[in-house]
Amino acid sequence: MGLAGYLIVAAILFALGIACTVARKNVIYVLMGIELILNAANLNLVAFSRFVGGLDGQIFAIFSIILAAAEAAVALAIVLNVFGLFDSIRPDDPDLMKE
Amino acid sequence: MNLLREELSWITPELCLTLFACVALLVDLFVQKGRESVMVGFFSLMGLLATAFFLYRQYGVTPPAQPVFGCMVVDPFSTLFKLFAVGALAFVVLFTMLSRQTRPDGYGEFYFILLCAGLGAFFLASTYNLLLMYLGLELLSIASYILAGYAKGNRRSGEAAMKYVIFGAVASGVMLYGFTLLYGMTGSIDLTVIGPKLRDQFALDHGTIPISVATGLCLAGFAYKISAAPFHFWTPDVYEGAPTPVTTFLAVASKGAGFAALLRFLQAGFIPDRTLGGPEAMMGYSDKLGTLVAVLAALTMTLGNLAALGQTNLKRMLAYSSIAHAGYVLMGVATMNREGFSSVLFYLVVYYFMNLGAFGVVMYYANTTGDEQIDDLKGLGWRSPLVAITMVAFLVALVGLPPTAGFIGKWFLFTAAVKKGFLWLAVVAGINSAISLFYYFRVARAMWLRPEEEAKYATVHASPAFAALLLVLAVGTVWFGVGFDSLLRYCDYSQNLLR
Amino acid sequence: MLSDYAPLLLLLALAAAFVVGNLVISEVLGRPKPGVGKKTVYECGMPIRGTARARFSVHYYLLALLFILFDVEAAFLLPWAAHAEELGKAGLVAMGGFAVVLVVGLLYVMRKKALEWDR
Repeated sequence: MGLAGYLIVAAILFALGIACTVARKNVIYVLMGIELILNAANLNLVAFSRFVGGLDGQIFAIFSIILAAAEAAVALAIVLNVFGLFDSIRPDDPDLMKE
Repeated sequence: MNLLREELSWITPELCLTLFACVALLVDLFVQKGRESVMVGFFSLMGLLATAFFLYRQYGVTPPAQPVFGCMVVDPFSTLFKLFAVGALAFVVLFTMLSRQTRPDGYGEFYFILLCAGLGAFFLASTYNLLLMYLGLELLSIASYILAGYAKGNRRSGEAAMKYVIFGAVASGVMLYGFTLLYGMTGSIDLTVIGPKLRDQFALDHGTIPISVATGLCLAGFAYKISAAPFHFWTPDVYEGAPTPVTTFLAVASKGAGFAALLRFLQAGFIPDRTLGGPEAMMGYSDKLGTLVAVLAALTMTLGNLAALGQTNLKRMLAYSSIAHAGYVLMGVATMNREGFSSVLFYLVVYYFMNLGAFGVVMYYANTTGDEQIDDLKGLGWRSPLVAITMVAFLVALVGLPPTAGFIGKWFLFTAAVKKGFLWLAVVAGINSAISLFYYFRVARAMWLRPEEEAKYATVHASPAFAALLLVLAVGTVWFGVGFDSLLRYCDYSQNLLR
Repeated sequence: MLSDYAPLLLLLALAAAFVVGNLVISEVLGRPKPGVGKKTVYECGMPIRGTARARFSVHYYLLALLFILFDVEAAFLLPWAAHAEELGKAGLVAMGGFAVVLVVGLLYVMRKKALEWDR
């Protein structure tokens, strides 16, 4: 079992994440899709780090996990705020500024 | 330990900004309520001044490229963009203090987040390291999400923040995935190593599909940051909904930092050293990439300009105009040569003056009327002539007409594109500039029209501080259109990426 | 390469078949006799009140977010701790700076009374 397996899993995760974000049913789904994308990238990083060489990938993965947490925290806070203002967490519901 | 001190001395501006940001947060916490906003604002200004001082001192002694801690690089290019960011931040802080929209209490943390965003821009401008580039981008982005939604209780602001965070997080995630693929292909996260490794791979002739996929994913992230098509959809809503000082920050500092990172990314990774020569395949790929960017540029400016035509809200119109301007600047990026990159720097500096000015006027206008509709501008020229005259200067510069700096900046971009052989692109840009004349002119006309009902708004004169800010920006806009020699030399010197 | 995973797939399939099969069999053969005795808590636990879908206080989300943030930041300490000796003074200074920034954040959180649960 080599690098290819990890890459395939990561690519599937990435595709799922993108699908999740474009479906736009619910902001929480979208945020989960974003997490999937980031985790696909993390999987890639760690796999490449193991098979291609260097610790850079693992360090990158640690940073990316932490950034994902920070981003999720901010995103959830924003979504809470939006829920308070619009009583909805469908990403298409707030549209005060459409022409 | 000495080595550590030596390296630390190169990042004094970053350290200074970090220190001031942290202390600003503490000041906000421990100062009596009700006065903290103003105090923290002044404190941030002091911090920015100190940072600018360190940057200026560094500028005189900067070597061609000083590596720091193996992941940052200090060179004239980074210093230019850092000065750019500090200047923009200073104006944004001043705008925030003067804007009525952001004047209520509880704006202490606002400045802290603003400084953090500036720090992100600093990192973005001075690194070849993919990890630090991603960190800088995220620091800038996350701070921007918060800033966009800062007007709590304002539904538009909330909507803007949500749209921004969804779009931004997806785009940066996609870019991260692209980074990992580059890392996988080359085994390094340093662009200066990735470039030569990619050259070797091109020499092996494995085909360009994997590299194309990786580059495309990375470019998506950059395109989002500079709001270029097809990743510009967030721009109008976010620019309109966010508090005006924040919009100014996004349009100027954030976009500038995005361009800095994009230029570095392309230069280190994908532009072969012409003197050394590279494998045929890499030369071809580099040219193809240039053509792709050229197509994106044409698309971006056309979409931006066409959409701007029908806008009734001034801020939203300026948002579309800023998309169009991203297209013009991409024209210089597409050349992938020294002249083009220099013209990009020049145009960004010019853009800084005219856009800060235009958004400043929007803010003044919203202060007096509480709205941003173009039709309500009627009679502004008679009510407050100074503001209207500066606005005309900014508008003329945005169209790109002489004698303003906008004309000179566009001139350099056009010549760079034509020399590279993108004649069609220059023609498209020319047509676009003509289109843009319509919507900018509409604003100018509205300002000088006699309003039917004279006393709809009481005459509100711009406060002296605000008038001074606008005057500085207007003078800069016009000055660099006439005496542009020094700025041109400075930009050429700072453009040390391609020689 | 991927075929190495065939046994694993088989195992998964068997496990799924076992679970689904048992459920189906009990559904078909069993005669459900619900009663008060069967529905009460058995030997431990508290009597059930209300639904499980109750709303949490918004403070809970705040606290959880803060916990996650500080928790993940600790991930930076681990690599440093593992190599503290080699990194020496420079590493100590760097981590010191990191810790100071974190403490500023913590101070902020405390001052804003975000950690006070029963407010």
